[in-house]
Amino acid sequence: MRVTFNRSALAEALGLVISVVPSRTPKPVLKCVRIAASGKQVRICATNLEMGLNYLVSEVEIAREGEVVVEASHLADIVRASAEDVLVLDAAESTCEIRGADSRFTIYGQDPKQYPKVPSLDDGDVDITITLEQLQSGIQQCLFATAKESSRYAINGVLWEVKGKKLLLVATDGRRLARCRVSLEKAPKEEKATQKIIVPAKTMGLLEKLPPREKESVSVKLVDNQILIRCANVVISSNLVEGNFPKYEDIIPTDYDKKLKLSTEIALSAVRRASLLTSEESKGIKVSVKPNTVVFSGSSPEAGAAEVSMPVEYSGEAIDIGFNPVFLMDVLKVVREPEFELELGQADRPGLIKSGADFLYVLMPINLG
Amino acid sequence: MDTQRVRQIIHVDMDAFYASVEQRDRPELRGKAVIVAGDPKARGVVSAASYEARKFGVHSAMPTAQALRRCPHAVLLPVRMERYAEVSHAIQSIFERYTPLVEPISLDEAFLDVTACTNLFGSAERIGRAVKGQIASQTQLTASVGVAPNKFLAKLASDLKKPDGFVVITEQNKQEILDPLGVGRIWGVGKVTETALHSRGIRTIADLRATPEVELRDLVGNGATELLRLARGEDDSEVEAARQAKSLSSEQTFATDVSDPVILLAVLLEQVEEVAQRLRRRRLKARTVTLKLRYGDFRTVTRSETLGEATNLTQVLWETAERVFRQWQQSASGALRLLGFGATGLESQEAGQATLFPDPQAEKLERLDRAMDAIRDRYGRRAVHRGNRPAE
Repeated sequence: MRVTFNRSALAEALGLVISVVPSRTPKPVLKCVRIAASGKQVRICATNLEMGLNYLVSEVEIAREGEVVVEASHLADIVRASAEDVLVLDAAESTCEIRGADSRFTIYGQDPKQYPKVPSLDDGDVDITITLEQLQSGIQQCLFATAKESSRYAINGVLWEVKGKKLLLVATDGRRLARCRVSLEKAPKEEKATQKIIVPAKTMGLLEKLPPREKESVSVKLVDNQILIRCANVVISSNLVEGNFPKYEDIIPTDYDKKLKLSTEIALSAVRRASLLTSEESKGIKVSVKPNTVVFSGSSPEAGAAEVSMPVEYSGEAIDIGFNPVFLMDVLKVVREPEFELELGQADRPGLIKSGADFLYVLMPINLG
Repeated sequence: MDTQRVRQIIHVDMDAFYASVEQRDRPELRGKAVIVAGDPKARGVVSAASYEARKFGVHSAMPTAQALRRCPHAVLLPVRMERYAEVSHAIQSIFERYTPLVEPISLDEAFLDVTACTNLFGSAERIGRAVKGQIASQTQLTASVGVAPNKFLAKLASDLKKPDGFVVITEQNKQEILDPLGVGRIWGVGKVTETALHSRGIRTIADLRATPEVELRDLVGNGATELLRLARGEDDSEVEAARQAKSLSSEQTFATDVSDPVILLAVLLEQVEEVAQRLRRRRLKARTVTLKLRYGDFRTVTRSETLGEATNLTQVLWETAERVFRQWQQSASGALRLLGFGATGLESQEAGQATLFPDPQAEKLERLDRAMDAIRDRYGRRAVHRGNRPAE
């Protein structure tokens, strides 16, 4: 294989591909990327067996077709550190030379036949299409709420629930839950119209990292236990999370009478300041809602106490409730409207946050004792 | 913050505690060399030695077999932990007559902060003497007591005239007392640091105090500032009253080194079951699981994993412990002298964050744990245990 690359295009490709390369693996070949040149394009792919990525680079000149499998981090480091406009990758049987105007690197490759197949997605029968913008905005509003390494595997991913031409993305770590509704470009066919799948958080994170391009469309296909996602020149394949996502509809409160509208920016600042003196042991802050005022307060026995208040239009019953300030800050950072709605029931029932018609967030209180 | 506040700290250290309790309970042993220790045939170690035995070079943590070679005429007694705990409790209640700020370090050692109660009971020295006197009259045991403006100096003081000592260190005399002492007497200076300091000719605390911080930094890194503060007799650490347990653990020293993973995992499972039950009894949950692995040559490593959320479910703790064990096994090998399991990052079972969904799996495991705990409480620890003995 001999290919001349635009260096920055190659660097961009490797930057994305390398995010699926595992940092530790019992199979050394998985630390590599596979580069295959044929026709007018070069395909760079990587997999960790859970998730794979296929990246087509077209700003290339192929002098000789072929393929090579080389360690991802070495190649990426070399390409990133180079200042050249073009780089030539010249691969013989088990080595790959990377040549610039003033440099020549030789890295040792592995047998391409040993590299696992990384699925690709052809045109034709896709199940769903959605704009990249919609998808990424949905991911941004819910991914943060997924569990990290929970023993309930199902909540280590984001639930995709198709409802007609809408897609609900739901994430929870068991203490708070974020749900976001986005629009589809193309709804799935009948048999997949009510499909529910759980996509691993890592895969969702990778989708969020795709370079945003206006009007770019994302095609999704479901095959067995896998999801295949194509966006422009990138195809991501991922295993789905098995297991049952908790029945979350039941825990979204519908009977609350304490409702208030708060400024997103002011509330975020208030929560942040009220949490400055809380400690690892007393990590809750108290939210006290009274007529015309909300007071956020936090304290720890070692450090002291903080109190921040903000005016609000409210004439209902007063309530004190404890929340993890991180859970509040997380959501206020992704609320896009200047104002959000906070709804409360009792001190031992979840708080409900709504923003617009398409976003809601449920968070369980902390017992402040 | 009130940095000028002069504190009054008392350190009480019981003399040869376990051995003294035995000598008190059995008058025929008084004046004799007594060693409280684990079985020499099973490689037990000395828990305590009476002063009569210490003359022969016997000290705690020494293998029992070696202790008996040094002092063959000693009376060897098994450890009666419950008895010592009972006596310790009586001593604790003496402390509490004077101050609620009592930090027990172990059964035979505690710090008291009496700063706030000198108006009531007189000077710290007076309180210290009263405590010592009451321990003697009520338990017939002797304690060494140190009185000083901070914990470091108080502990140092109690150690200066052991046994039956009483030493007062003040801001005025502290340097005079500290200066001639070896650097090894400083908190946190172990053999390694001591050797490093000696290699630069820093032998006494006076030598240390005269060493510029930059030079010291080369030897001990970031610890240099703290070391110099201690050398000047300064220490801000607080007496932490009724401190909550920071960890629960269980460990076992083997009679002969064990390398068979089947046996090791079986031991580990038993330890996990025990610690998990103790967690539940105290209504605590643990966030981090730690394995302690000591090889035949005493080299000790720990391996741990932190869970996404705290738990006291036996099954979850066991799965985590087993995973940590397997990972250790992959990267290392060798016969173990000791295996231990510890749970840290403890938090109260009730406090804190409520959850959104019932977790059916967790609820099932909870019911299982409750049932097993009830059977064990009634019929003993060995009445029932998990059948999933690890297979290789």
